[in-house]
Amino acid sequence: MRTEARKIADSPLEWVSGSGDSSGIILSSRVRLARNLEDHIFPWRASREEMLACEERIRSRILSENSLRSFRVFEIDQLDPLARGVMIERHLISPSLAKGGPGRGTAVDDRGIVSILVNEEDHLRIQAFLGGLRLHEAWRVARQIDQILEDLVYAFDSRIGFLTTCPTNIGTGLRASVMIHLPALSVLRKVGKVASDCGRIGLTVRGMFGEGSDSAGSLFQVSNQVTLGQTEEELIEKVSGVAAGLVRQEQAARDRLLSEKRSGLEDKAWRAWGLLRFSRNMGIREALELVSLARMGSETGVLPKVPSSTWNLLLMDIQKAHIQARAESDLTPEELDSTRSGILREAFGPFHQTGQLS
Amino acid sequence: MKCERCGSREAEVHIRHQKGKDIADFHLCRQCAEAMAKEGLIPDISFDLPIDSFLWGLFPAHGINLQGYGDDQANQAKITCSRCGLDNESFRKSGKYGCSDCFPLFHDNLGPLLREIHGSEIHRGVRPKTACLEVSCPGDFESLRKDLREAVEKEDYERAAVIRDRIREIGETNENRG
Ligand SMILES: [Zn+2]
Ligand SMILES: [Zn+2]
Repeated sequence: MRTEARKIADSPLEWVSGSGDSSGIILSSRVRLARNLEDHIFPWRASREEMLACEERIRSRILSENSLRSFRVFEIDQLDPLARGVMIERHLISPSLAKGGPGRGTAVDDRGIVSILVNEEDHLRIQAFLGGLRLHEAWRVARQIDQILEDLVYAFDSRIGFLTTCPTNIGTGLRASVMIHLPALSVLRKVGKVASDCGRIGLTVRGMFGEGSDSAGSLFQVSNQVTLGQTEEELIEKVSGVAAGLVRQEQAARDRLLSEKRSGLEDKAWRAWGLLRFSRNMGIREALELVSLARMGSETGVLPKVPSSTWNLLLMDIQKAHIQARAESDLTPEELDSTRSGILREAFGPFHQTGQLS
Repeated sequence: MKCERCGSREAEVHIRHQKGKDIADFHLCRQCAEAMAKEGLIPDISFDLPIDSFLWGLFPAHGINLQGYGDDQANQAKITCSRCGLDNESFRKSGKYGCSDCFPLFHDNLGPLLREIHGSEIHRGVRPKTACLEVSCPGDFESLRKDLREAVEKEDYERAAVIRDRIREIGETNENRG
């Protein structure tokens, strides 16, 4: 029964491989396009039959397209809760799509770059994920899929653009976002300021895990608010530009910590390393915090060098559904925490010797 | 009021579901509402949200006030979309359109709402290849010219400049198409 969940947990995600950004500060870039089919009522108002008919058309278009032959189409209702949980943790589906229902599904490519959400808030949500700061490239990937699926005839108005369920997505239907790791700015309590600066220029900053500037693991998502009135390239350039600026701010904050609070930083980083390396029971929140501190320690040269891909992979592997999917049977909360500790000990084991020698 | 499905828990979710001429009112507890949405019996509105915000607050949460929009035709007169059954009152509450026919129906002019959300009302992004054939573009052109005249009359030069750019862009695309 776990085989599907495990298979999904073990499948590749391009962004995890750590390509694209040498700093390790921007983990991933995502471009999402919201589209609806002219011939169908929007999902939240559609009958069961309509949902199924719409899904059928989208599915057969995907399956008949030679350039999309590497895609796997999933029906949400056919997936067990664990497999859905794994997909949520991998951002392949949203929590609201995971609830399932008639005609709800997703199509995922075999490299873990594109997922096409079917009958979520809109008929189609085409999303492309790449590692590092590569929004322009992600846009080109999403647009390729878009140009294939537009054969289905989109709901489009020549003045206001692509028509969406929520007026907040009208126009381009485009949301460009980066996942960004800001531990030094968090330590210096600058994230609130950064978020309000971004808000003033039309970008949203929110925590990946938890709310606001208090996000566990100092991981944030920066995205555009408006979708209408600018071209896709303009919207993307704005998010890219701000993201690059945030990388510089984070690096400056790290330099400041290294020059002004070096012993404090070293102590924090090595404590985090020690706990990750030797703990026997660790909850998700603590694990995210420690991984974040240790990652910053590693990237600033305080701790042994660990590749970006290892850090990225851990962000998936220590989450609940991923751990459950790889377990032989259902884990109790205590077993979950002890398994998580085991995953962390094992991940850092190979790097530990280097640490002692250096 | 008790939930009409399980009869035991308190009804927290009140939904008026309208399809064509049929109107059905549901008074449900949260669990039953979720279950029925899953079965596709009622529309799936995100049940993660606190119930207050789900019925009334969806837009204020986005920082957008829908009061005064969607009823620009006749004050408070009920307009129902004949295709998806959504009426302007429900649109105001949910902040969601039901189908592509709702757009012209609920707004004589979508401009003010879109300007409030996006600071703009004109799409400048990519277009489906089917959408901008000879038929739709001249009409588009005409209405943009009308908007431009209006903006200039109102001395809204910022907006006039955007519209002028758009007219120019469409002009170029048409020339390129030959
Ligand atoms: Zn009930
Ligand atoms: Zn409608």
